[in-house]
This record gives sequence, C-alpha cells and structure tokens, in this order.
Amino acid sequence: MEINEGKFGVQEAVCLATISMSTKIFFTSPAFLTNYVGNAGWQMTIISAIISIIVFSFVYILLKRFPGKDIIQIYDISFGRLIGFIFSFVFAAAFLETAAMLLREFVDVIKVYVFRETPPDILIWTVVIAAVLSSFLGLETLARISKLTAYILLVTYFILLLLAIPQYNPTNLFPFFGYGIDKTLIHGIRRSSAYGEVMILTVFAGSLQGTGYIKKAGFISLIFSCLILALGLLAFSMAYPYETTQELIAPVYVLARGIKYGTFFQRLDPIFLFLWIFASHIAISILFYCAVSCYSKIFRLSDLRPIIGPMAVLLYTLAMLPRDFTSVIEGNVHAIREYGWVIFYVLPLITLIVAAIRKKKGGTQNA
Amino acid sequence: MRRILVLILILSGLPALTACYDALEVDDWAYVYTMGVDKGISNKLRITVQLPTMKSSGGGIDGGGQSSTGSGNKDFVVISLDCPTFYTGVNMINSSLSRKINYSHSKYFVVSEDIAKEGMGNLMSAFVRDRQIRRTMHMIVVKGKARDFIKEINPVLGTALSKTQEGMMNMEKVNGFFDDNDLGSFIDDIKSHKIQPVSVLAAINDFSNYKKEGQPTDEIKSAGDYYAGELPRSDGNKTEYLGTAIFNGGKMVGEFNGDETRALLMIKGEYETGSYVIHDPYNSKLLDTIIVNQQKKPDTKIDFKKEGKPDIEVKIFLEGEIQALQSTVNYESMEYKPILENKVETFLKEQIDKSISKALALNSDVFGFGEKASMKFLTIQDWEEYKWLEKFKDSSIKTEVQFVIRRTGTLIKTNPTKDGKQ
Repeated sequence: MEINEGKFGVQEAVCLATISMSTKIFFTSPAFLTNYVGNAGWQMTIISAIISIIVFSFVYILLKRFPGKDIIQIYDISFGRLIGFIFSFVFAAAFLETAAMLLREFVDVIKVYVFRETPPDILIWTVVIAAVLSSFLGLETLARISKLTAYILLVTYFILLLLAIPQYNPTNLFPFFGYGIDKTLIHGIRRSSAYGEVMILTVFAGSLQGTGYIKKAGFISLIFSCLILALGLLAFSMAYPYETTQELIAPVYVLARGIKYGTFFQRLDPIFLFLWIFASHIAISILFYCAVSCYSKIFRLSDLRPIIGPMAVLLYTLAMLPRDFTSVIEGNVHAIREYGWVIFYVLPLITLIVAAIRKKKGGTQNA
Repeated sequence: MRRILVLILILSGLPALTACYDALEVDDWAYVYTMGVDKGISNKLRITVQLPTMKSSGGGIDGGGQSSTGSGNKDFVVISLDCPTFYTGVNMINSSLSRKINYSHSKYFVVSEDIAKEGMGNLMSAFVRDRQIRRTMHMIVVKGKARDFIKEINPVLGTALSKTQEGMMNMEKVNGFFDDNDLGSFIDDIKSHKIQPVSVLAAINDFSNYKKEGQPTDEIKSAGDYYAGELPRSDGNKTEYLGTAIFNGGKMVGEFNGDETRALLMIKGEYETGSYVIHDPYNSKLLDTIIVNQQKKPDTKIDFKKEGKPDIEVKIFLEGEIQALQSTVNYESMEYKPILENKVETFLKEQIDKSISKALALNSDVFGFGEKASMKFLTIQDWEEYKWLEKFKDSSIKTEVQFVIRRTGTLIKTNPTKDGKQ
C-alpha cells in the first residue's frame, strides 16, 4: 500500500524546489566558489544551471517511461529489489545529509552573527522540531506553506538586492572571466549539484498531476533558482572585490548590514533575518521530509509518521557530527557541492540507460 | 480527557511568555559611540572608547540632555586602556564597568597618525572579524593622539552625539574637503589589487591659528589650502575634518589638503559641490567665488604603452554657478562668461594635476584608475601578474577639465558702485 502524500500543483512544486535550491545563497557557498572562480561566480552558477537543466531533461525522459511512478519505484523497477534498494537508500541518505549540513551551516552562521549566546543544541532542535511538525502535517501542507512564503521571500530578497545598489561597483566584475573560463566551466559542471535539490520533484512525482507537470515544475524551478543565485552572486561580485568576498561567511548578511540611506533608514539586518530564517527552515523541512518519504517508500511503509521521530534524531546527530565550522564548510558542504552530482544526477542517468537497455517501462513493475 | 490535554498544552506554553531569563536589555549594554587606537605605552596598543553615561535627565543623550565631557554631570565618558589587542582591551575595560560593552552602534573608528604610518593592515584585518563591527563605520586618521581627539568629540550644535557624528561626515557632500571612506571600503581597498585606500584626515584645532591681533593682510589662502587642525578659526567644535590620509597598502604615506581632496573626489566622480575662490581674470586683486558641482562621472580611458606602462586620460565634467563677484565685469553675459569659465577650468586643472603628481610620487593609486585598467584584462591571473599598484608610478596621466557656468545666482548683472567723484 502506497503512502498518500496528497496532491499539489505546479506552482507549489516550483516553490518547494526553488526554496530548497536557492537557500544556499545565504551561507558560505558564495565565498567558497569565489576562491575557485573569482568574481565569475554568477557565470559559474549559470553553467551549473544549464547542466542541471540538461540532466533534468534526461530525468524527465526517465519519468516519462514510468508514468505515475516516483524515482524510488523507478529504481526498483529498473534494477530489481537489491540494486534498486541501494540506489534509493543512497538517494535518501543524500537528502538527509544535505538537510543536516544545511541545518548545521545555518546554525553556525546564525550563531556567529545573531544568537551568539544560545547553545547550538537549542538552535538545532528548534529547526528539527519545525521539520518534524511539517512532516507530520504532510507534503501537501509543506507545499502550500512554501507557496505562501515563496512570494514574500522572493520580494524581500529582491528588495534587499535593490536597496544594496549604492554598494555596487560594476568595475568589481572585472577581469570579466575571473580565474579563467576553463576554471569557471570546470567548477560550473562540478558544482552543478547546487541544483541537485530539483530531484525532490522526482521523489514527489506521485503527488503531481502527471509527468508533464513535473517537467514544467522542474524547468521553471531551475530557471528561477538560477536567477536567484546568479543575481545574488552578481550582486556580491559588484559589492565587494573578489579578495573580500573570499573572506565573508555570509555575504548576503553583510550586504544587508551595509544598506544605508541617511541617518534613519539603515541597519536592515532584522529584515534579512526574517528572510534567512524562514527560507532555511522551509528548505530544511522539505529536504527532511524528502528523506523520510524516500525511506518509507524504500521499505514500502503505508505510513511515514512512525519514522519521523527516529529520522529527526538522525538529522540532529548528523548535524552535530562535524567537530567545528571549518569541518562543515571545508568537509561536508564542500563534498556535497562538489560530488553531490554523482548521486543526484548520475544515478538517475544510469537508471535511464539501464531501463532503456532492459526495456523497462511504466506498467512492467511487477515483471 | 480532551480538556485536560488542552489545559496541559496551554500551561506548557506559559514559560515561553516570560522571555529569556538571561536576555540582555538595552540598558544592560554600554554602547560605544567612538572607538580609537593609539600606540600603547605599557602594552602594544592603547584603545579608547567613548560611551554615553546614560545620566542625562532630559530624556537621555539623544533626547535633550546637555552634553559635556568636562567636569560635573558628564554625558559621555572616554576610557582608554593599554592592551595587546583591541578585543582583549574591550574585555579589560569591562572589568571596570557594570554594563557589557557593545560596539555594534559605533560610528567612528579613529586611528592615530603614528599607527597609520607604521602600517595598519594587520590591525584592520583582525579588527573586522568581530560580528559587532559594521562596515558602515567611518574610518578616521587623526593627527596626534586618538584619545585626545575622541575626548573632543562633543556636540556643539544640538545634543545628539550620534547625529553630530553622522552630520559631520555628511559635510563631505557640502564642501568636499574630505573623502569619507567607510571601514568596509577601507579594508576592501587595503586588500585590493586595483586601488589604494584613503581615510578622512582629522585633527584637533586648538584655535591657535586664529590671531586675535596683528597686521591685516592681503594674502589670500583658499579654504582648501589647509590641512586638518590648521583653519584660522575660533570656537565651535575643536575637532576638524579636513583632508585625506593617503595609504599604500596598510601604511599611510602622505596626505592631501582640502583642495587636493576635492580633486581626488572629482577624479573618482564622487565630488558633489563646494565653493571655490579665484582671482578675477581682469583684476587679480579682486576675488570671485564660484560654486562648482560635478556634472557627471569622469570619462577615464586607459591604454598600455609598448613597455606596458599605463597611459591614462581623464576628462572631468564640472558645472557651476556664480556665487559672488567682486568684479563688475559682466561675466553673466555671453561675451565674458567664457573668460571666467576658462579661468576656473585652468585653476581646477592645476589642482587636479597637483593631486595626481602627489599620488604618483607616493605611488598610491587612490583614484582607482586600476579599477578601469582591470577591464582590459580577461583573467585575474593576468591582472595580478601585471602588478598595477607597482606600475602606477610610471603612468602618464593627461587631464582635461570641462567647466560650464550654468547659472549666475540671483543677479544677471553687476553694476559698478558709484562714489562722489563720478
């Protein structure tokens, strides 16, 4: 018996995927990629998005072969139970690890700037409890909350970028190709997993009205996320010389702190905090739910609620595992960004090839 | 059962309404207005903080209390301490205060000239790491001791110190006598491969240049000829912000006076307005005052000669208004206006060339020509290999000033004064 995750439309799906993909702009990723590509980070993320769109086109072909099936079922059908289980498990683990690292990155960065005296445990559990509650309320609720907040988050984000215009110096965009086109291209391809969260749509495939809707939601969310990330990176590249961006933990926060229009209209960091906390909470909840959903589907559970608690403990444990912030950004987050594509992109592509070779299709799951 | 559950749920939420037991309220903090750094005597650094005492009876510092650092009911207290680093110093100061020091609302970061000349790259890099430090703070280099300067930061007009501090920095837009570089830009520029940092230059004016008695003179000195602390004035704020400290990397290597600073701002395209005094084209004993505004951003072109030396051309577009004419020549007319315009153009070009020569001699690209030059390079490696900041001194820089008098003030003609002989 399958889990009934409810139904939602393309707009909700776009919001779910876009929030999950674009939240990383608030953390250390911009500084990290500036180390690799200099001021050409915005070009790099466009390359990453193009790669992701191409990969997602193939994923769409895969989903089209199995109408109404989600990626976990497709792995099972294409490879059989054992290999399908391994693929699905890796997929679920990747979502959980991504959620945990986003959580840890969020907590460490917010501790540096805002909640200096609050124990990290309390901050982590606050987010974990939010994720647990959202999971109990179900995917449909999560999708609707995403849609509700997405507009506010998007408007706040663009207002922030617009208010920061006086801080921009377009000459900071030069030398135009940063550390070189070759480096931008290589890192663009390698870090295409920045958009790997688009794969949540394949997990929730059953909740969308059909494969056509997934295609639409996937492409739109990828384009939106690319816009959000590229504009953010372009803004940082203009606001600070590359030597400075490489040093900053959270360039968006620094950008918000720099907004100053006269003696009255300044210090807008609290507005940014709202954006930061909401976006991070929702993104972590989505990824957590996705991991829970994958897990329940792997074991063909009829109800995912019993595993939310244990998974929450796992999320907390994973988030607490790195011993310090340096290990988080140089180890885990770096690994997810650099090698996440192997899980998010290569596994579905292998599945497509295998399904084509083995001539597996939609109605043949019991074959 | 359901009612009991609801009751338990409601009761369990009650502790949340009490807020944090260990929260720090506004009056638990000691907010620093100004921070300063001098060379220490009994330790490496001498840090100074200016804090409000929160003792004003008229509604607080910003609400109408008298501001004074003299004896009696002080509104601000200035504390100095010798320490190894800034932040350990803040900790040490807290051993004598009942409130926790908070510098997230600081407006000024004041550094003494001797520290600036010794090099402050490392100091600044370390300083900016703290979350309370805002990049929007104003960066000021002072002649003499930072502590002495901070003690004199006191509102003469109004009562709000923070407003006085902000207002003072806004004077850049009124007279162009200093280049208000904030802390963020200063640190960016220290690390940049394209531009060298500058800072506001300030000093205490002890009013000694104001001669109470003596022989009247016909000697003319433009307002912009002065450096900070030298204006011949009496009364008002003892702190004076005039001129620019020029850096090469993290080291202060020279300074610009008021007029040179205006030229710097014009080249950067950041100059807004200011009054200039020039000798009348027909009678050098008479003085004409012109308001000069920057019309648009300068047009800067950079090329590289065969030997790789930079060849820079700067075209500056200015416009102005006649503010005061001692001469009776009808400069408002189409016939004479170009004569006055040419005179101003020549004067401004001289000022600009003087500033450029000074910067070239100091090998400090404070104008940011490197930012334009970097557009000629495709990759950061090529750009960094070129070593712009080293080669800046070899640049040949041509300047052109275009000046147009747009308006003539409230008069369209100046009739001569008549005496009994005529």
